[in-house]
Amino acid sequence: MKKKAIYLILFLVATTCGSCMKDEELWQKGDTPDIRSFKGLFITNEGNFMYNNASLSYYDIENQEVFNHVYYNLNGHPLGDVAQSSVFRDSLLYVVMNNSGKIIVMDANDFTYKGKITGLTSPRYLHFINDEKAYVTDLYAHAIAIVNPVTYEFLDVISVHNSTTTFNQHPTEQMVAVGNEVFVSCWSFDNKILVIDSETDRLIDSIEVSKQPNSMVVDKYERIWVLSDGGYSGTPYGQDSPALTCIEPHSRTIIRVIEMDMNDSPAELTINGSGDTLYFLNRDLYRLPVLDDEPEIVVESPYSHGYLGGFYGLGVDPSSSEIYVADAINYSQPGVIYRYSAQAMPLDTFKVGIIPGAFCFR
Amino acid sequence: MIRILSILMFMILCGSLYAQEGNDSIIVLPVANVFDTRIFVPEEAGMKTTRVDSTIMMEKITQDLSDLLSENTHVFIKNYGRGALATAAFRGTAPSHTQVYWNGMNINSPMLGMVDFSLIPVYILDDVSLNHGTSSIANGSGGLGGSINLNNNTRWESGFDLKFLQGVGMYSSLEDFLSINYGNDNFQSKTRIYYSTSKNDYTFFNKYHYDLDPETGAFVYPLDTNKNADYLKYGVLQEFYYREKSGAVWSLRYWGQQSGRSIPQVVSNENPETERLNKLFDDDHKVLLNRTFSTSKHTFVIQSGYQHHFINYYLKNQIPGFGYRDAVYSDSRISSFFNKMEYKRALSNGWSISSALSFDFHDVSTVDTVSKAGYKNDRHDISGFISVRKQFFSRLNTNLMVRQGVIDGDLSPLAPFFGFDLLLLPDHKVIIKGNVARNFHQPTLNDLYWLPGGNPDLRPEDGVSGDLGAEMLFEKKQFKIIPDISFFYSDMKDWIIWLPSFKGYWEPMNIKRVISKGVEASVNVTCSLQKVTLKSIATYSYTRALNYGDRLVWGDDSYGKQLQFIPVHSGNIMLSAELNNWIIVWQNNSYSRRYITSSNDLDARGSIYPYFMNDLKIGKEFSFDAFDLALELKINNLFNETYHSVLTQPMPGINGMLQVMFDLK
Repeated sequence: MKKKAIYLILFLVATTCGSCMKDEELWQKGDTPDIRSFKGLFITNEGNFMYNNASLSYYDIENQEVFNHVYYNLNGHPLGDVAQSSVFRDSLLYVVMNNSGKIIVMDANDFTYKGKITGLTSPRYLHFINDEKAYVTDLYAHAIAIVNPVTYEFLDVISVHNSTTTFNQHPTEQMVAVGNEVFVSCWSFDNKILVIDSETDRLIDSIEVSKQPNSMVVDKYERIWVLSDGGYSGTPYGQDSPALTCIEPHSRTIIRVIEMDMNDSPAELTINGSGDTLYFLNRDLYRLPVLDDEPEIVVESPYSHGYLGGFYGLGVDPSSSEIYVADAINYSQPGVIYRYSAQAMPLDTFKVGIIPGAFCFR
Repeated sequence: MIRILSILMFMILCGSLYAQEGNDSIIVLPVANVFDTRIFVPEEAGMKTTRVDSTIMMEKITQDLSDLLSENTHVFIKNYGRGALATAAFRGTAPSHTQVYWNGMNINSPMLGMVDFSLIPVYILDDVSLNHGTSSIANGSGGLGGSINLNNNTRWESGFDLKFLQGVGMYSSLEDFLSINYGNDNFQSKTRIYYSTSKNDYTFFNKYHYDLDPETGAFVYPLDTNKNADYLKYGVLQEFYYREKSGAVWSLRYWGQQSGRSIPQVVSNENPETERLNKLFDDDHKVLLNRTFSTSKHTFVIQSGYQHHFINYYLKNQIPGFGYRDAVYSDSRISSFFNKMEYKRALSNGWSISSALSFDFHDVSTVDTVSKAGYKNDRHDISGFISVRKQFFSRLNTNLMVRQGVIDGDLSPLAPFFGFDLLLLPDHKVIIKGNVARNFHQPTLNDLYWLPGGNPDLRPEDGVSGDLGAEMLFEKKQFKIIPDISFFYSDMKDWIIWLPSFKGYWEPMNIKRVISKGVEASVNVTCSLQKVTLKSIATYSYTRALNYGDRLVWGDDSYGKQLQFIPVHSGNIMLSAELNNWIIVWQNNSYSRRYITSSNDLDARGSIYPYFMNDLKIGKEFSFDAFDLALELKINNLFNETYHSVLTQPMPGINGMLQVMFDLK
């Protein structure tokens, strides 16, 4: 009887569940994208923080075809956690993985993995100085990293530590170059545009703008436009008027400020290919010719409710000035991209990955 | 006002130490040494209630409540990794919709609304029971999913008793538990001290750190260590019980605990472990004074408690040339007062009534010293409860309960409950039971006041639900079986969800409507075959928790879909066999596929594969003149599964712990 009972238990244990979990499911390759045209758009989908579900989508502009999870499908491995931005250069695509602390480098034609740049704390954007030197901004490192984009080596840092404040400064964000000087916006709880001499790799100056400058572009007149969201109401850091600030880069002086309502929160400043018209998101899509004074609404947000931000990312095709607007919907499902003509006529709508945030044209 | 009331309650309670009551029979607190045989109890008419079996409590004695709930009840636990945050999803609801009561005192965080079950050791609990769905109205409001009741009690045994338990396991894990009990017929002292730590440094092949082999061109992966995942938890539970000549019983309980946990960086991050320090500290103290006086017709309970909870969280990054600098450094302090009076009376002709009145006060302050953002606020919570029960012909128990709350002076919606138990076959105790009810959940203080993003205009979450089920008790000689099944349906509106606002920060909104429906079934079997005692306890849940919130735009595919991380099918089974002081226990816990996306995408990035976990325990008891000794070997992940938690955190392979328990006679 004793033996029977033991046999019964062993039988149940052995038959009920063997090794059942299918972890290999996470590492399966998928369909290889059949890309017919190389006039395309890379869309980095941030994914959810800590979920490791960032992804890369590719949109064939000529044939209006979208391919999702292109990197994962080809390599059988995910990009990592929070794809912040991407840069296309010399047939390579560099995808900055913010919470993975690295940059994944892939062949931009077939998405095969080429290498990675590691050792970064919380990287945000990559900016090429030349073929063998690039800067990487960082949210938490208090430094701009200098990397070699060919050998994938981490070379050095440019310290931007601000010891006079406790607001974790300077958190560096976007970069634009005019001549040998790189202008760096400091977004989170900050109000500075840092000026870096790219020959000496040294911080040489800073310009104060409205709080939380989140994005920058250079127009056809070689002036820098900075978009600030103004910060958050009621926080100890305080709030400024959200503003578009125009800087003359050689004298580093502010030549124009377009202030907005305190309830606004503009972001994603972008410029068209000819450098004469600015676009940005402020719940709706706005446009401002660089010589005008008043931004105008080009596309209204589809959200009738007051509770969502609506549009999340923005890109303007430098060759056609067509506009691409990313909608993250509820931030936990594949987002949607709306494609408009330069005259803001709807052209296409397609689904991509979770939280589409940044565009990179090729 | 509530502060004054709280102080008054304390004074009343202290004053009644000297009060004399009638010399009636004493209340006997239930002990957790039988499984769910409390069926057809008038006080629980219509309520779906589950008690955790004492065998399971012993089997999980060195583990956390998260393990016990996930492996032995219908509650799904969302676990972020070994020793990490573990929150409950009861009947497909949010973590804040499960209300947790320690000896009647609500221990949900007033800031976050939820409880981290990984911080509650099973060792300090004598009795764990669950009120499913709106049956939780009997305890308090807010339990849209249900409530979990954690109780301590005493057996009034005379003499001195000492137990020491030590577990030594892999990954530098150490568990120490000591209990010292002393008492006589009128006084009992119970002391439980525990210490639990682990480096948690298991190894795994990190496929997120992939790179190309320079020779073959194939992907290669390093053997990685689970870094910055250590945890430490220690505490004490001290209980005093005193029985007056009148029969009234006083209890004074103190539970203090400190814990520290490192939070590992995301598995795809390749920075050295020294690059980032991410830690969470908890310092929690609870004290609870209770007086219960019971006669054959009356029960009067008065209770007063206080909790102080301090939470420190920081994220530090290594800044070249400057050492570690804070990116986040947050301190939160919560002080809460709890006061409650209950009165129960049995009337003639099968009628009985219960009533309760509670006054709670919460004071919260939280600040991040980097952004300097935070808030300081409080909440006054008054709740009144009345229940009227009637038994008809010894075959039908009915139960009408109503709860009314007043939050910060504003009347909350009324929460009514009507339930019944119908005894169909008295011989086998076949019972049909059901209920309909309405319940509410107030927004948490973070929902209302978090800076930036807090939304003071939030409405309470509002749920209407119903249950219908059957229970049975069948006993024949050495065989006992207790099956039960229940169907539930719950329609919850104004569900609060945090979403990024267009201003860039996250903001809570009342936007979701969720319908949760399903089946809960369980069966408990005990069978004695000569010297062998076999026991099996199995549960199964079918849960469809569907989002019917506002459809946002045409691309919103979340409408009508299963909520994220909630498995449709979940179940567990425990089999144990005892023979000649040997015991062997097999435990299986399984979930079907869980969705990562609200649109229920089935690809590998949108869902995670089904979960099947098996554990085994083998033990032997030795008895000596002066003491008993028990040795146990516990094997986790018996089949050495390679798997990830829901957020892709790699989990440990097969691992074991050796336990020794010493019990002084």
